Amino acid sequence: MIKTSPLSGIYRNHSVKLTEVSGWQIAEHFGDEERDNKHLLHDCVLVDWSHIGKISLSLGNAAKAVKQVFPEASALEPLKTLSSPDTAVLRLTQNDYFILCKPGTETDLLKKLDSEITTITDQTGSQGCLVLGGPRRNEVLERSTAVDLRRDRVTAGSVIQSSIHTINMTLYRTKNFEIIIHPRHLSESLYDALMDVGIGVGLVPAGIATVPVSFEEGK
Amino acid sequence: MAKRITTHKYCELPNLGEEISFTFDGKRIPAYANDSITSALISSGTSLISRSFKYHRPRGAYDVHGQGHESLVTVDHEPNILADRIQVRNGMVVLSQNAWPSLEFDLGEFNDFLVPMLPNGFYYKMFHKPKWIWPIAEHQIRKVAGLGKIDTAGKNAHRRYEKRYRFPDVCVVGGGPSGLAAAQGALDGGKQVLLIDDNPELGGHALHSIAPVSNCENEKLNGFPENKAVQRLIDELAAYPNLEVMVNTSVFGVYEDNLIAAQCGADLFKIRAKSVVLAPGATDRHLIFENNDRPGIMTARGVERLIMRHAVTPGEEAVVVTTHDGGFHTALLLEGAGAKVAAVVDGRESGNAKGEFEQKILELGIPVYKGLTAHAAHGRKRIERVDIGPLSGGDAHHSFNCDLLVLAVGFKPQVNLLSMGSKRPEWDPARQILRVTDLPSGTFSTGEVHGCAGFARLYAEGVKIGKVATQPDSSVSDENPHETERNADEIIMALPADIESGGKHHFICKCMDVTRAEARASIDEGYDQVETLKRYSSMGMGPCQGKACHEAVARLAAQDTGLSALDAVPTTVRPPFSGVTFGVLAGRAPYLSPIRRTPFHQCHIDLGVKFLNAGQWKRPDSYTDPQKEVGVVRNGLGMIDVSTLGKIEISGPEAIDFLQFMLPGKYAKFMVGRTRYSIMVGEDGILFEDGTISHIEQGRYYLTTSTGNQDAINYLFQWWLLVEDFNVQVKNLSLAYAALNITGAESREFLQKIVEIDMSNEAFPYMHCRQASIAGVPVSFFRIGFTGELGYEIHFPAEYGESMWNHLMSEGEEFALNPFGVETQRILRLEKGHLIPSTDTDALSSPYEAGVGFAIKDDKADFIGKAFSQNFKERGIENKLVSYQLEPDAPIPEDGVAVLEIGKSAADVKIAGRVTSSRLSPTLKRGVGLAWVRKDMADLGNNFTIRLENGRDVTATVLDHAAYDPEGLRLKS
Repeated sequence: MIKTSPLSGIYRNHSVKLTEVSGWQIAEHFGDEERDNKHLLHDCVLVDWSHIGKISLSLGNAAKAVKQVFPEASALEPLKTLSSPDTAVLRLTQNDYFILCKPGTETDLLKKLDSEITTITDQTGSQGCLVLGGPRRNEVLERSTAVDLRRDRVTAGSVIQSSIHTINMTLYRTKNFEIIIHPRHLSESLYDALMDVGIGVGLVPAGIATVPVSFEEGK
Repeated sequence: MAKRITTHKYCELPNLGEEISFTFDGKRIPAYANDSITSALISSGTSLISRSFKYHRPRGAYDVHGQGHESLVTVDHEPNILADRIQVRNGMVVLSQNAWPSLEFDLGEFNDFLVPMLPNGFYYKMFHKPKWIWPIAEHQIRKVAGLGKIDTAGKNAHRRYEKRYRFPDVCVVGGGPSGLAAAQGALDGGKQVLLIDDNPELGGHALHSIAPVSNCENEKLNGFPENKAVQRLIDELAAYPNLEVMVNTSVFGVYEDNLIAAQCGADLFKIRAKSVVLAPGATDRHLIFENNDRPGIMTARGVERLIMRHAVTPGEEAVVVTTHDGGFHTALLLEGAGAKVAAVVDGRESGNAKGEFEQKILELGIPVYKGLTAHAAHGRKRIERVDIGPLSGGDAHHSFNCDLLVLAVGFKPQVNLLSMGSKRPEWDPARQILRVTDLPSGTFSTGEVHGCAGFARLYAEGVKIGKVATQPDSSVSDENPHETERNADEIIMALPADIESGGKHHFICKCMDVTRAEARASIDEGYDQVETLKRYSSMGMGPCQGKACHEAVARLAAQDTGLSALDAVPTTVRPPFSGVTFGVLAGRAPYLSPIRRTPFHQCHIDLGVKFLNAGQWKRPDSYTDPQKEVGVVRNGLGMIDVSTLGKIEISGPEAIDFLQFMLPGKYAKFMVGRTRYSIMVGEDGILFEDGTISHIEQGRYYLTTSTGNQDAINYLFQWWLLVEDFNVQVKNLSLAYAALNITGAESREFLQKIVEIDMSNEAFPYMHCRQASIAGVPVSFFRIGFTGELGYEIHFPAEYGESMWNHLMSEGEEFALNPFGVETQRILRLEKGHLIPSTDTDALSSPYEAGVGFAIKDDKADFIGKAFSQNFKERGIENKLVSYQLEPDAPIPEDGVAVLEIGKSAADVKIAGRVTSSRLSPTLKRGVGLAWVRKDMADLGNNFTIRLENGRDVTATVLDHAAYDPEGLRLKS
């Protein structure tokens, strides 16, 4: 059985080329890969990464549990991240972590994490993930949230938990992208709202051919 | 006549851009791309732009800066747009306002003769008796007095309104010399600066000045005329990477904690700055004399703006009335543009030192009259002549033919942004202006808002303030160098508030058409304070909100009431400083409010569902006719999306203790594989939730909650985990799992076909749960029955939602599986007599009275709400929620209608309860429902009366729990 993205309704309205990744049906491109790449270079793009693995660790001894898999992550400051191309560990509070990983790898990670000492939840299906990239993405954000997201205030590798268009979200900033984790049932609304404000600054939907899943800083 | 010029004797003219055209009241107007609507109209010889609010007097361009109401027009269906501020676009459709049948011939001008004959404030005194006449009179008054008409047809509905945000270190409001300098000072301090100006370009009035700059501390600017020097300063700023410039942006409010509200087009900017520097500048002062509102009377800076920015000279023959050398500067610009300057009338007595431009005017042989000012203007749609005379009024000394009267009688600081609802401006007798000096911490001000000054002083002051603003906690005090200074030669003496030259058309407030005579009459009636005078006469309450007249109102009030100038301060100035549309304040379109979609949303759409809004959720209401869908479930097989249910997993060593504490039921003997009905009560013992709890595997429990309480119960659990020491893990899986209820007599047979476990009644009885899989997807099964039929709720990972739906629909084809919606479910559950908390109960409902007291086990140790639950139990039943049915063919009551107790007479009627849910049962072919009734009316078989909304009464019979399958045989089969 295929896993569908919360944006499947959006896909129907575009000439999307879908691809299968770890059982998920996800957008490879929105009809014109060249156009998507151009927008990534000059304007901005919005990419569906809902299929990435997402695991939350909260309460109990979350730091100890995360340390068993990512030894350096327990020393992270709250709202800072540790990343490799395959995974990103986001420390949300003193005792809450969120792990993002490449699609399909969450199952192995869940096995490695000690569920006796903290509450571990596979959030892969419950959370959507949108990636905002391109040089004009700030113009989309400034129309979307009242939070001060200036790059010298929220540096690459930081996390903000706030709301965009009244939708609660976790924003993970990398050097070139804004990764927005949000509740699955509001994914289409968030997409609509971002596209609505972004349309004037050249925002287009793109697929994972334009922005493949990778968490490496400075990608 | 006004005309476009191609050369000027004393300055370079601007590049006007390409030739375009637009229409004004249907007439084609040629223009250049860099024109404002006003400049294009003037250059084409159009002097009449609008009609006044009350008297419909002709009005033309005044300050060309949009400070007053004179340039209000309708642009492309949008009313009340300031023509001064709008750059023309090719094909733009501009219409005049408040005139009928035309701007040129407006019948409303009859008011100019009629209204002065009516008593002052006639609308307070007339048309109030008899009572019925006022609505008619009010309608007519509003029709005659007004501005543009709102586009109710929604031709601008496509317009996008955005809210945008900025977070600069320093926000400088005003792009004149002092604002630019303040920005430079802050930038040199290493700060991020946002510089805002409401004009299309930075530079402020310096752009229109040819006065040479000297002694400026920025030596690179010395020796240049101000218009060149300010451009060089702008060029210097362009090199700073930390500067953001916003032009064509009006700051309309400065609020607490340095929140600035600004409008740029259809965008609302909310700017939160660490420091704010206000440099809004000053505008030409209002002068009050007979017919001071006629087209052709303009401010000096307005004239200069037209000449130097738009290459338009607004008149052929001009008279300049002034009190300072700036008036001579304007006269020189007019002369250089080819206009004839008939006279410069200087209110100052002869003997003062002559300024640079006065000297030049004298050298040109232009007559200069000292110690005089304007007494009266003549002409109707355009000024034709002006009388001049002494400042003290009386008879005029001279009269000049002219088509342009220029007013240069000093400057009125734009104190509005400095005041903004908290600080009242005060009259500074030394500087002869209204000022606001005491600003909150982190807010600073600089420039002409503290009095007119030369370029060098404005620059120095701005830089100093910009540097101070880099330390937002610093404040301005006597010791602080920020305190501004003005030399005696920079002070412009204010003329008398009104020139007593006779006549009845001395307009104080041109927006609201309030004359000096009306103000005096109001004072005579006892409205002798500025506040009451404003409210009674409506002075300062028009479109400009007092920007043009607040100083004049205060000074005249002082003059006429005998108050000292210090006491007669203007009324409090509040935001918005400039007009702002509701669209900008409201923001984005309401259709973009968040919508919560279930994992089956697209499947519902594919089946042509009618959606139901349940909070933010979109739930399927029905796919066909709910009455028919009931039949599908009762006679066959149905499936409903119940993904909106809350789903919480509780596990860990003390999971059972936690449940015993949170829920009022007993769970010590809760076996694996069992499911139980469960309720929740608050600490006050009130019933607020019901659902099921299942023991899905050893030590792992799964609780479902209603849609509306999904978040609340999760937060409640998390809160108690923080305050009580339970070794337990709580996972909110509400979004992680999709859920379907497959129900109907054939549900077992259908599911047995697609799952590997034994679904028989013996192996999987009612109120049990099982773990299995469908097509490889792990699924939790719960055998429960909200619909009253054999049924199974299945929960599985949300990402499989669409695939699972399609799989089940395909596999269920041979069983005629059909989806049904929430409305169908409501009928099914009413046939079965199931309550829904919050729908059938309220914030005072006792669980015992609601009939679910059996779920409370108060003989256990402690649980949330135990004490109050016991109180409810001891108090006993006073009212009861009962299931009822109606006679066949009886009309169906509306939800919420009253249950009545009817006594012996028709008048003896008491309310004895209410219906909470009511529907027509297609199964029983009669109305069924739930109602709260008094205990003595709740006995099985008792009849009670329900009064419908139309006043008709129907009789209902109390049932024992359920109208359909009361023994529950179908559920348990």
